[in-house]
Amino acid sequence: MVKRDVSKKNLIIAIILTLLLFSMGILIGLLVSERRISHLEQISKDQRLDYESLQLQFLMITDSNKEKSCPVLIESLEQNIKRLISTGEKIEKYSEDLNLNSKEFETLKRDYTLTQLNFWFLVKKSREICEKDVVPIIYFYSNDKDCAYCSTQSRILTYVKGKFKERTMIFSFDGSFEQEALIPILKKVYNVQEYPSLIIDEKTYSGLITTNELEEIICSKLKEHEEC
Amino acid sequence: MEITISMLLIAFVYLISLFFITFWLITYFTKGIEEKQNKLENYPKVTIAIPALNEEKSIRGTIESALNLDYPKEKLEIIVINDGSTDNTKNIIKTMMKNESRIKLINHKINKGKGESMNEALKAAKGTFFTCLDADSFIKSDALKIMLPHFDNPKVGAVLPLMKVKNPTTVLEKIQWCEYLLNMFYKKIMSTIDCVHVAPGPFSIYRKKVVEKLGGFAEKNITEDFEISLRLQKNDYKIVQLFSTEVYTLVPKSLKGVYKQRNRWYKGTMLNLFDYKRMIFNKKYGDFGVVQLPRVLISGFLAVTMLGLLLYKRVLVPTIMWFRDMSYVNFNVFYFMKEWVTNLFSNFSILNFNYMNIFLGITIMIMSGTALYLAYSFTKEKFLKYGFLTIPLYLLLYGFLAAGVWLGVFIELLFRRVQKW
Repeated sequence: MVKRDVSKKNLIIAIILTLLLFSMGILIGLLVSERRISHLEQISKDQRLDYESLQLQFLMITDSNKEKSCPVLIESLEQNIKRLISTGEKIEKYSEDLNLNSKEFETLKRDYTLTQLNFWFLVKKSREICEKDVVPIIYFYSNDKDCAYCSTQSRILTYVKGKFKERTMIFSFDGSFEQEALIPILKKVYNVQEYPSLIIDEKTYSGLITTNELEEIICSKLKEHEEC
Repeated sequence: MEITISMLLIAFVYLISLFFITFWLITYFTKGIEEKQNKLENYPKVTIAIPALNEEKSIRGTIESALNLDYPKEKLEIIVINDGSTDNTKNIIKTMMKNESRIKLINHKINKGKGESMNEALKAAKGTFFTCLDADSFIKSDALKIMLPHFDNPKVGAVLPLMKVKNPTTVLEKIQWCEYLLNMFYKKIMSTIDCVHVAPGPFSIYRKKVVEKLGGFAEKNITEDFEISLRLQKNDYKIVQLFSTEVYTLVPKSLKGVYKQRNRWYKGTMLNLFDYKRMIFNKKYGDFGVVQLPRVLISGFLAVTMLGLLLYKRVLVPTIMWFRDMSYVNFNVFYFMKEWVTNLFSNFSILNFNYMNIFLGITIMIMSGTALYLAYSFTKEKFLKYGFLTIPLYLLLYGFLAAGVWLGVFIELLFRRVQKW
């Protein structure tokens, strides 16, 4: 009969090695998360400076230089908003990965939300001063499971943005992100009760707005556009 | 970051898989798998049982490979059990018997199953050692001379040859070929710590008196080879896996065939584990009880969990969502592809990669790669023998194949459907 043993030594080494490798993976994840935070903080700083610069540009617009300054301002706004959206996506993506810095990500998201709002106001004002034919859209989404059609609305917005290009400017806000006090205020002001919701020219559109509906709304706001 | 149940499940599956691979590799590096080859001093009588059910295509080759064994003629007995074949199997056996007195026939008018066939052969057998050669398997002529000396150790109850897939041609056969190599390497390591859990049909040699003492083969069992191995282990007999001689076996060519075969194996595994549940986590049975049986028990659950999560989270839900969302934008795939590529470049940052997943993925891949490399080198096979796609296809598809069968088995077991062998 064979003598039965448990390879205790090998089992313990295997357990230690497994935990060591797994912990190394987690450690790498956490170190990367730290780097991501400083990367995003740097971007946020740049974006705030960009905003200040644009604000100054805006203040410098007078009736006499309007014709020359406005197109430059609108172009810069468009570029900045594009970068801003990409930052927003990064914040969302990075905060979903392993990290111990949920507080930092929250601060970054607040910062991002406020910068977006600043840009939104700037777009609204430049629209008036520069008489620019542009439709700003506020999009309220939610990362919670209760928003069944948020991914659909995002896709529709991306698609419509591709069609109307710089004639629409989209600002996305996570409606469930109540850590930023302005979000509940905005929701209250615009009577946002469900997700997705769109706000176009002070009017709230609740629930999913299809491509055709959205195109119709945008066309009704634009003076002229080849897509309309 | 919100920790979800699926994340915990994935971490659990990963940790368990990594633990077992690490344990096997440590066992390999500490114990080694070199074989000592003693010379056969005397030639004990050996009985080879060949159960056959509708094997007219392969039975001649199987019997011939048994007859061609490099072993004294008078010491070899071949018992072919025609288990109710409806094709020409019986006639082929009878024709061969005319020229060869060593062949004996047990004829079943109706199919009785492998277990019963083996027991009848066991009763009729005159050999000191008893082996079974499935009718779809072929052995090398040196098999007995290499395998029998390992019975010098009286604790040895069974000796197994290295089993390889015979002439794989289809992708499915090549995947199985690769799987068999890795499985053999794994069994070889397990053999060093007395943890071989199955003595498969093709040419596993048993010490006849041991099998008789243990009551023969389980007749109603759908995986009687697994059951007899469990019984040998339970009664503290050694099962030795060899690499120095080979047996070649045919494997199913179609997906349906693979599913049917694996379904029986996996179902038999679960049912037998249930019967032998007292051995699981039982220190009395050493590594076999503490490591091997829990591994066998959990592997199906791990495969199904991983496949289920992967399919649901990464394939099913995203696909449904994609189709739904795209239906709202007239399926303008081209636009979104362009958008995706532009974003990929404009948003590119080295920080975008999930380094934790990459590290953990590479770790397990390096370990699996090491095991695969060792499996190939110890079985003396070339990496590109069956084309450069064999290994990638095996790595890519085998998990899905196994998990798919396991899923079917779990569903059938829930509804208590068990087939005959």
